Amino acid sequence: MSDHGQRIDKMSIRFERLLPGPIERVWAYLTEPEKRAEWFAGGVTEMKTGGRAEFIFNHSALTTPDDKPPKKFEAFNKEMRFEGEVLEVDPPRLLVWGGDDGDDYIETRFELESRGDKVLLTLTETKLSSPSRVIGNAAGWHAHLELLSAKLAGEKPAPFWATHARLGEEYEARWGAA
Amino acid sequence: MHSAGLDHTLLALADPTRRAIIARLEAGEARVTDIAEPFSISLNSVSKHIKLLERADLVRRRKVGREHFLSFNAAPLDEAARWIEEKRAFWTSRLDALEQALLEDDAKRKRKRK
Repeated sequence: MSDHGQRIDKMSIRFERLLPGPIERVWAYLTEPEKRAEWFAGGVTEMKTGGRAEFIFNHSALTTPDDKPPKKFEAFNKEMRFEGEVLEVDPPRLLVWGGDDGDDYIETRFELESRGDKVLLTLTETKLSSPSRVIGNAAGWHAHLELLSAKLAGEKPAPFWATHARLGEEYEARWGAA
Repeated sequence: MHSAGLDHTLLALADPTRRAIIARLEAGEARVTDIAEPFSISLNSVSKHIKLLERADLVRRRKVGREHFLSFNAAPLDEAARWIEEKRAFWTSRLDALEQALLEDDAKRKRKRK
């Protein structure tokens, strides 16, 4: 299993992570605001199709004060709130969120499957609108998943922004101008 | 009296995420995808904020092929600033008048006591 995301088609990416279980614990990290805020974004997820999916990002809280964001993200290195939609939910196995922007109907799908005392997380993001979005979101999800893996394993995560920048270059090298 | 424009301006500004988007546009034009870049979520979620900024005419959109470029437009701030200044001036003058009345009252009492 590679840590790097796979490009399953031109506009879709997939990540797999074998995480410490049990499955309910990983599910809580996907759906409970305080737990999800530790690795991605807080916010309430309504557990029904068509429900509200709130995302409260605070990137500065994900890392140490000396790990600075790139200049272009500086204005956003504080609390930023967004809202999406729950497309499918089946606890504790499946959560899909997304939303339609005319040009961009992104779907983010989390699937969980017990593997002994571990849990296989499969994250698939489809219908990204441009090659730059594919690279940007791959770097973003990879960096967030590094935090999730570290949290669940009880390890200290690497600095978020430094990891994000390194991954951005790696995905650009793999998929850029392709 | 004020126009619906003022409502839209104040509503658009009454949100820290939208103010951060305005701050980002101070560095120059940006695509919707640039705004969304640090957040692994759908553009739709970002677009909801941008639509409110566009309705207030604080953000303008320029299309080049499939790319949408956004820029900040400061003009609606004039009306909001004018409204705030009018209210500030009105209440400052009222409070000045109140202060004056209290001082005069004070002076009268002192004269009576003599």
